[in-house]
Amino acid sequence: MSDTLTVDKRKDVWLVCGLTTFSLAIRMVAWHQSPLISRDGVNYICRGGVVADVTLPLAPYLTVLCRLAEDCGIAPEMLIVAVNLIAGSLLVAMVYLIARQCDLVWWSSAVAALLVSVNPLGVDVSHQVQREAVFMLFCAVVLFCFLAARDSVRRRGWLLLAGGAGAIAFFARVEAVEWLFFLGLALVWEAFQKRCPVRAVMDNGALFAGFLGIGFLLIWLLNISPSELSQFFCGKINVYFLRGWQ
Amino acid sequence: MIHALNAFMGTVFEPVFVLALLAVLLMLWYRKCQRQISTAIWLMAGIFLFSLCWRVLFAIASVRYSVAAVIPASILAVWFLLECLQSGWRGKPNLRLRQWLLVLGCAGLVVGAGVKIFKSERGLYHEFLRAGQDMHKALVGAANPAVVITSSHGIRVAYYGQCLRNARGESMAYDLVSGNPSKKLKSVLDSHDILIAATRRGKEEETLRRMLAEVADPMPEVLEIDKYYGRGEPFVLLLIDNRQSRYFGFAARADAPPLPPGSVLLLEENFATASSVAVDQNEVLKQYRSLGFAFAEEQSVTVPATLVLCKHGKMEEADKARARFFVMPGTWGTGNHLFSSMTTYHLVRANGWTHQYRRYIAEFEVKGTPGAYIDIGMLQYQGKKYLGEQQRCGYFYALTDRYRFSRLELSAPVQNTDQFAISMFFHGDLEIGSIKFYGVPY
Repeated sequence: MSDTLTVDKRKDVWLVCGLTTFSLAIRMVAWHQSPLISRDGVNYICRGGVVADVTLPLAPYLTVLCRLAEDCGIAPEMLIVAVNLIAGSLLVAMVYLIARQCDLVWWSSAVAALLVSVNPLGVDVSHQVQREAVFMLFCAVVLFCFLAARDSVRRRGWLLLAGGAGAIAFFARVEAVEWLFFLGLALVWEAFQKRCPVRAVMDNGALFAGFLGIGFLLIWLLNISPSELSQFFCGKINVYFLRGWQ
Repeated sequence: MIHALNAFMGTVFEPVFVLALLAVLLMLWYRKCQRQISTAIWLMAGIFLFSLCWRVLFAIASVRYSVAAVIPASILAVWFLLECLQSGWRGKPNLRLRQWLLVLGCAGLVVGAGVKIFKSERGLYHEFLRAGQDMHKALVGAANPAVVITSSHGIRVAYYGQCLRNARGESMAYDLVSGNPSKKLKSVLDSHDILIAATRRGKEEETLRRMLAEVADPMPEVLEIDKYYGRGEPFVLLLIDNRQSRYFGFAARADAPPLPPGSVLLLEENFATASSVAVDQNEVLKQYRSLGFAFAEEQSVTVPATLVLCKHGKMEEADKARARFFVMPGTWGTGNHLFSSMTTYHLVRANGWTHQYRRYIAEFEVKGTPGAYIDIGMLQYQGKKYLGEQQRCGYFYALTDRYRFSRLELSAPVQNTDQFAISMFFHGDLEIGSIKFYGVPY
């Protein structure tokens, strides 16, 4: 039994490494073929205001990356693309791990991960100046941590990770709220099905919320100004309902 | 219908799609129970519908993904559905069909993704770069320029050409996609002299030209700089020369006599008529020194072969003494060592006059080899102390071998500056028809 488990784990490690390498290779070739910047990428790198009469929302995550790049003397475009290439590749591995966490067989998990690795949009956002690669990676990390926390004795540790990842996902794309909402619903449903005590559910929820708050606080400390935050929160409403920039 | 289809296609590959996959994987955890599987499918459908509505609502869908990738994705979606049903209901699915769907879907998606990734966008990047360089060359020589954005092509070309902001760091790109494009274009035409647009051939270009014809009075000259190709969508760079409607009598002067190389020009104030008077070189250097300028590398000062000071058509002795501007080619001063291979001119102001004007205007008529340009900046001094370059004002480009007029505004020097200099670096083969430099009073 123990030998089978070891063999499975070894297989998982090899598959995760292989899938990540495969995904990274695809993304790097795609980047080499067409290192185009997207329309939104122009806005992110120029810190908004590139169009005279339109203000577009800026993700704090990209603002921080741009500042870091400037401090290190690296072109912001290069740093963001490098981070996205890694994040997009790790997302594939994360999908595999989530599938395994859901007790799927290895080949079914590998197919799910391969699907993500060759998804054209997934490849695009992984080698362009976009936020989606990091957003999706950390959404997947949140999900993985929740699944891992279910039966683990290190529940607090997993929830801590989930909170931090949720905060990063939120600061990459505000849509992470939707994901956390759906996830929350699923977990409440699970608790309801399992007839878990309300107190246990509340404890877990409070732990996660606390760690999410700590994550927000840590990101806040990365010198994001209130005006940048305000622009981030109000930006979507401004763009889609008031200005309609396309 | 096409928009609806595009919206659906966009939805399939929306990032939410990946999240939906994750949701399905999560819900497969419940697969021992039929009811939960049903919930999972409904949840997935809900996310898809949400994504679809979101895209349709904001109409941001576009043809970005080939049908080749959508069809296999649909096959795989069916496979996933079967997987869910089999796992949840413990039924007896057609295993052979399921396997074929899986193989077909994966193979199709890989091929579709390959087509999308390795073929469709090839060449567009280099075309954007080329167009950006051309836009830069065209705009930096222009007076009060603006970039009009008619699609995502335009903003990216402007980014690669570093033409999104003007010399003062202000945005000079105007979006004509949203809102009322005609009204916006009219507003841009009213406030800018040169406009440029990277617009796709066909409907987009026709719309821009039609809007121009509707709102511009008189119709500006539209120059087509070059054509570019990429992803089967050729686009063109259009330079809209709006100056004739705003400037008086500064039409291109084909008969303007070029000044000899190395000569110095100018100096006139308040729109006086320009003419030339030869002045003794030593006299000029003497005047420089009398203004308090010390030459750190005096031995390297290049005295101009000819110096011309112009003031109201004639340079009287009394005027010489009161001359407010000098123009001098040479290699002295800060920055020259950086541009030692270029001809440099400095326009120098005397004491006590700096703050009388709100801003300064430099107007040029230049012609030369396309690509040649004048780089102009303002240096500021306090007494003999050089304070630094206040602003790199911009460039005048020679687009054609005809004289073209350019105009550049410089804000007044900072309050602790009592003298300033305008530095001009000549890059390439250029001829100057005329230069005016004057102050705009408060």
